Amino acid sequence: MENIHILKFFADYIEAELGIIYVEANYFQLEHRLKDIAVQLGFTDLKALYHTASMGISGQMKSLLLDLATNNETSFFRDASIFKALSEFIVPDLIKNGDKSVINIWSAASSSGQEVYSIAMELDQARLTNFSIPLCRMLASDVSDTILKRAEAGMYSQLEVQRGLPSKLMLQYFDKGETDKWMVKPLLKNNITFRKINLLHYWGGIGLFDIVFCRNVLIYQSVENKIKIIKEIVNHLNPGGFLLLGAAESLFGLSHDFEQLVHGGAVFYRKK
Amino acid sequence: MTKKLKILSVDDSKSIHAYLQQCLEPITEKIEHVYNGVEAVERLKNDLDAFDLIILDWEMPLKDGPTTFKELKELGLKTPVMMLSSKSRPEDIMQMLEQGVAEYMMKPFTQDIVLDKISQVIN
Repeated sequence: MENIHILKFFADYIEAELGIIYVEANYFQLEHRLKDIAVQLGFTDLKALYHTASMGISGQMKSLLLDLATNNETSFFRDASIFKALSEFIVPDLIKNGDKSVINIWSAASSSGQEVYSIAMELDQARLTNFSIPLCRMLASDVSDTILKRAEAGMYSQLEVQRGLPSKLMLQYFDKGETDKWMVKPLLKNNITFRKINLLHYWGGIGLFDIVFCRNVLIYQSVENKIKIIKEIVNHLNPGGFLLLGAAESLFGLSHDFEQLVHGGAVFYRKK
Repeated sequence: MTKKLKILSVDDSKSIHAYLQQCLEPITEKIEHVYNGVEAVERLKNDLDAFDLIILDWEMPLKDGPTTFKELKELGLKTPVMMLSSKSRPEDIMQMLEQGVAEYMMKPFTQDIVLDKISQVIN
């Protein structure tokens, strides 16, 4: 690989900004994506992109570099058992004392929005049989401007809208546009706020939450960064609040602030 | 899904049959293909419980999907049916869900979509 020092430069930058580690075995993928960025920004080749980047990375280049590193592969109701646990165990657990008028939920790596809209759909469906579920306010955040704008727009291709979403819910919560785009209905967006947040940087006054979804984030991080992120989440969780991680992630060796719970095959954590 | 499934695919397109065969290989014990609604009714009328799932195309020669579905229900079919179609108007999808199809899949689709939808139907 002739551009190895260039690839290392960008890999180091991405690791410093996002904590996401590109090992050399994945440099071919990084090279492919960087070449796309070079074309988008009007550079003749990767060396020209590097030449400019080495003098400082900002603006659109920074935005594109951060986009390329985040894995935005997602679907509605990804790991469906988590959403059942949310409506059947977690929310009832939070309201069992009867003094909760609002539940605050944070989708910390919301990607293109499928997770936060799945949460909203699950809770809306659960209200059909559980009338005690209070207002749920949601914050959806992501490190990428581009992907966050997509989440806020709530517009999905025909393939995207079919991923994980039963047809019945698709018809109930989405409108079909003139092209083959499906748009989230306003009622589902009512209580969702979108905000750019880098989990490795200062989170700035986002408040306290009862439930934090932080799925498929830790898996890309070093142990130090995992501990740092979890510690900050602990600080932003109400006592008895819940943390939900990705199916391949756990808190083992990272925190003693939670008890692990299981419901319907879903594993999640409650703050002690 | 632990048990491997027996699936009947009803579609006039050989390429759809081939693609479904490839997509469903991980979850199927067998996948049988017929090419229109007449063949589907003929295959099932004396053997209604032969399959775990039927994937039924909407637009076919001789007998289309909705007519086939109606006839099969009248014969007493209990097997879940997933409608497959390039029709993507909400009213078309709603019409078939109201008539009792278990799920509706729009073309084009990918392997992860079809596997996910089958998982929703079977579980």
